[in-house]
Amino acid sequence: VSAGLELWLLVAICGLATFAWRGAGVFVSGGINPNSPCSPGSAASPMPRSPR
Amino acid sequence: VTPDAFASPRAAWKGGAVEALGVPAAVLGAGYIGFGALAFDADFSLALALFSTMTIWALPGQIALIELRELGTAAPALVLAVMLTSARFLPMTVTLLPLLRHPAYRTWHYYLAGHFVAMTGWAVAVRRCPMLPLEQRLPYFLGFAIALWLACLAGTAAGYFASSSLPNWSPSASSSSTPSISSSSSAARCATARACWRCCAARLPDRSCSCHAAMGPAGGRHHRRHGGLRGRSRLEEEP
Repeated sequence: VSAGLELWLLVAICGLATFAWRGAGVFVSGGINPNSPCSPGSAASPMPRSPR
Repeated sequence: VTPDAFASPRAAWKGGAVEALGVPAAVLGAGYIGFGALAFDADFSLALALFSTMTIWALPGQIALIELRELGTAAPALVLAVMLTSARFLPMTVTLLPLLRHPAYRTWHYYLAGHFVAMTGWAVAVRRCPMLPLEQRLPYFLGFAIALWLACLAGTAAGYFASSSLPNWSPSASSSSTPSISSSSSAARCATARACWRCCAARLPDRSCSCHAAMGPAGGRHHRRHGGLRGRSRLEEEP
């Protein structure tokens, strides 16, 4: 593998390594329902509502 | 004044882009001008510098990539370091994406949005999106973030060209103000990559630094880089 191609490959792998965090975040966020009764501020939430 | 809702998702996309093309794009673009100059001095091609901004789009990681490569770090350690500098994207994405979800959009839309998560876009989206209708949030975020991404690409190119066209200034012309270090002592100082870096940073007169001989290709890279920072032609630096 030439040095130039090796560098392109390295940058591409670094890009994938960075996207691993973003992609994992998207995957994990798929299990979060912001309208869940357990979300902060809802009636069933153990967390107190913020005062208005 | 920014509206609480746009007329349509397409208008939200455009509105996000317009909001980004002000102070946010100027600030981020200015940061990437510095990265473009660094990439030029590290012997990256313009295409490669732009490719790194396109794919990584995280300035700390990109700087770590260039600096560690200059120091001759092994590729697995380099990738790990770049990856660790980007760990912040996990909590940022986990907190932002639930705000953007709507049944009208498909899974790959969210993974595309995930690529554009960065500090500025995240901060603005977390503040603005709760005020927008659900179906307009993802287009708004994508419009905002893609405009920033394009500004960063433009900044990278601008920095690269600016660095390549700086006026020629050689420390040899003002050697009276530079430290006087003999070639034999510089050879001893350049036994390691870091010593080579210090040697060049000490503004030795041209070719008195023996990085090339002492370090081989790695030393050559360091010498060339610091020669580039001082504005000399890169062709003159090759042995």
